[in-house]
Amino acid sequence: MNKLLLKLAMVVTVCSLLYSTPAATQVSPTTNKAARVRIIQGPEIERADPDFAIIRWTSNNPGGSPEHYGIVRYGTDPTKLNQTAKSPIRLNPGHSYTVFRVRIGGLKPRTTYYYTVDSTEANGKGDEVKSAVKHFTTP
Amino acid sequence: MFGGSTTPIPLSPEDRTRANMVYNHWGQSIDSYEQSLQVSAFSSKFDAFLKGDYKLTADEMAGLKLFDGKGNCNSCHLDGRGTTLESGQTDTGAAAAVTPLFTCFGSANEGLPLNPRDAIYYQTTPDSFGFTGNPLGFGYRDLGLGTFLRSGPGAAPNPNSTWTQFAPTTDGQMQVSSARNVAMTPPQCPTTEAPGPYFQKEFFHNGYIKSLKQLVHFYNTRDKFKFNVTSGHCPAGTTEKVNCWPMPEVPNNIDMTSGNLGLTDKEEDQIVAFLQTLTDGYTRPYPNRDTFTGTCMTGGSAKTQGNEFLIPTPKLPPCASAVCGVQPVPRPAIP
Repeated sequence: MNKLLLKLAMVVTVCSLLYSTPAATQVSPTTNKAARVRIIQGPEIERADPDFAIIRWTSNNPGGSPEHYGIVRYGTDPTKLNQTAKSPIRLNPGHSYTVFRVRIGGLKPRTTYYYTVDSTEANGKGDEVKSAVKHFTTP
Repeated sequence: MFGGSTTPIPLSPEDRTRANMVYNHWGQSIDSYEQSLQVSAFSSKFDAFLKGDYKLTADEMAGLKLFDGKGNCNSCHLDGRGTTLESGQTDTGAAAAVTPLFTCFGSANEGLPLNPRDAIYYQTTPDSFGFTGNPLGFGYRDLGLGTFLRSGPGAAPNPNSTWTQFAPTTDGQMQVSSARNVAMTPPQCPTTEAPGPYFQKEFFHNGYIKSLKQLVHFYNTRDKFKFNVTSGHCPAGTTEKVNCWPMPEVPNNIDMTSGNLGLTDKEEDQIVAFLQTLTDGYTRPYPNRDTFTGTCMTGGSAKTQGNEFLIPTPKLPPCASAVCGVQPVPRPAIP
């Protein structure tokens, strides 16, 4: 049955391509890249729990693929940011800025963490907008 | 399934070809039907607005501006508008697409809680055909696209093995639905929203959300009112779906485009008003909506609609190895 369903999906897909309509071309447009990509607000702590945090920052548009990842490199030693958290976001071609927000789980209570942020396209290509090292302390 | 055989019914080559052709025609018929005006009518208020034949109300226009702006909904529910709507601006631009589909055909994990009302969790014994829908019970997790890419339980074999490696970065992702007709109801029940009279719909992949107000509120406050509980266990003094959102079923790859939008209660309502302009049948009849012979529901508030049917999620066993143990396994591990 699974194979039959797969075939059906493939047939429908092929038919959609054969009988292409303007609707079939409606995929996310690419966002224009800012002349100089930089962080224009943050990074800052949106929320900090004993074991969880959200870090947010705003960039002018990095451009490239519609799907991007916000990247946070963090650790308890400011010279050794050896852990990485990343969260997907989707660029909006109509906006002149992009808000990145990253979830970090598995944190320890009452612990100070140091971090920098960056962002990448879906394929891992960096936007080269690294921040200075900042820190926060979990409650 | 079927002992691993993909052709469990033995057929001669001629009959196999014949059977395949029947399925091909079946698929083509569905495709043609879905493309026809019977389904894809583009006859909503918003379509009329794009043609200059309908003037959005103040709330509907405010909702459109929020949909494109502060709400950021059109980062994936593409509405084809050619303008950037910032504070104080009105939408006077020409539409980039005259029949926008309100989806980017992408996939995303919006972090919906596990819905213990879904029947699949209880289909643990053979039915009358000897088929067991979900032998894993509450050990099942719906990893969405991730399960498809790694050919996990219930998924057809991934036709492109080079994509299997991406399973861990797509766990929990579901295909983004069109926002068109999200508010469509049977004719006798004019809305999806309490107090109604309303028709009870289910939103998102597991039906956890029961009204458009809740849907927008979820996007708006998912991370603001995040609690480390499962559905049915929100702390005393909080109300589930109002100021308590249970933990996501799949905590990996959660889309962070939304989750803390800072929308006011009124702005949420305005986005709902805009979503209600996307229902086909305004400029001409749309006869193919489902028939419904029951009675409409009434009373209550869209904010807590359906909460009377919440049940406590049982203590969840770990994600079953049949789901989370298939290579390449989820990273980080899913509890």
